[in-house]
Amino acid sequence: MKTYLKITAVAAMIWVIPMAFLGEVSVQPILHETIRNLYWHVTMWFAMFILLLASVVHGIAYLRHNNPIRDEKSLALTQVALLYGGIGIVTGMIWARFTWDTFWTKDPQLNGAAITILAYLAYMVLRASIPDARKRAEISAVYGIFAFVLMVVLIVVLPRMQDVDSLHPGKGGNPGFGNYKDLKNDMRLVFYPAILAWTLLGFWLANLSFRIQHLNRTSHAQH
Amino acid sequence: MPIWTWIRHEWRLELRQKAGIQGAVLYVLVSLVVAYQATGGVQEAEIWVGLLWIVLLFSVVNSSSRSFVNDSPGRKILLYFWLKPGQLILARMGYQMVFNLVSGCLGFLVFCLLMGFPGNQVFLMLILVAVGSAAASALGTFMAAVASVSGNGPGLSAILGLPLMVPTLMAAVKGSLFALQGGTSQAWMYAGMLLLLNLLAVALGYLLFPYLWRD
Repeated sequence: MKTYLKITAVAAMIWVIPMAFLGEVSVQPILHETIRNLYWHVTMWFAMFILLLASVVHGIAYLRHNNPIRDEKSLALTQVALLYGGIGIVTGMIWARFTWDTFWTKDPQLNGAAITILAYLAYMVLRASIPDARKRAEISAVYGIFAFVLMVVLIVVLPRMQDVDSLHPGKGGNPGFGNYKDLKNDMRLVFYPAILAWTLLGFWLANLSFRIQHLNRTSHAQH
Repeated sequence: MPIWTWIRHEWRLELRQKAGIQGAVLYVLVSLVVAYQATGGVQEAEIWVGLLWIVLLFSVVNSSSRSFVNDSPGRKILLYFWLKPGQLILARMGYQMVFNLVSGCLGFLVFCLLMGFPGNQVFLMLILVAVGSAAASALGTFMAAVASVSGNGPGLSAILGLPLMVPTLMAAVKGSLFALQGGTSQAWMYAGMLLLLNLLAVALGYLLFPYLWRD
């Protein structure tokens, strides 16, 4: 990973983390101060989605050129995306407890996210069940592409169908965050850098994880 | 060769070992009876629809997970040289989709016989059952292919397939509820969405299967 991207990630985090706790936020009924979770919870999903997209791109590249490095990168990105998904679920549950008064609801977006995580856990099981490295790379790339496309349908298309009741902002008749009159640009100035920060951090984590796993594999091969 | 020939070939292979088909049909019937016994019959639309789709989904998983299990090594070699990989997956998916569409519709009628039908749009429900079962079987068949080339049994294809079938399930349940409660136009919209899921699954299978089938 390029150094300037790491510097950008750190700089963005230095801006985002204090601002997320101390910055001006929109005053809304029910939400109150929990609106700050926007910077943690919502950005986790954005970052997870981008990481999974990158993982699929590596999967496609693997199928085209059969370069095992691509498979290792794809795996590392998926692992970090799963970690982000777990954090996204937990932060979402805490938020839901304080605004919707329950940890878990029938919300389509919530359940879509949970199912995505299940599908990618199945991806891990699939990988673990194939001893041969080349076959494992091929099959898991195919499954990864298949799952990703269907998950896009699940998370992006289904919850946006007009009649779906969602508690999430911008759906099911709820106002979106963009409609809050006093939101102006203050929150966006933290929200967008937060997406950038967590996404870059995710790529950084994935890169480190890939390098460790790659070293492990190649050093085992030599002995 | 037209696609119909390959599907008919799959059908002939199945007929040679009747236990497979009989087993799949019996699975639907037994799970319907189990659902009926466990609940004692329900009239509430939401529970009725939920039960129906659980039974349908699991019978689809059961029948589609068998679709790559019975290939002996010799038959695999024959298929490898006889058909292009895209043709093979289309044939397998097509066979499973037709089979589950028919057995799903029959299962639905038996379900109505046992539990009653808490609405009046039977035809619309049949359409939803047909497209929903077909979409789930296309996904299930592809997962059976993945599980089979990975050297795992049909157990893994259920683990891989079920999360991916959830979008289908969600659209099917929503559409069925609309069909029962008189939201005809919304129900048709969900039927159209399920049809699109069918096309998506078949297209993805056609594009990706060649990479699984090259050893």
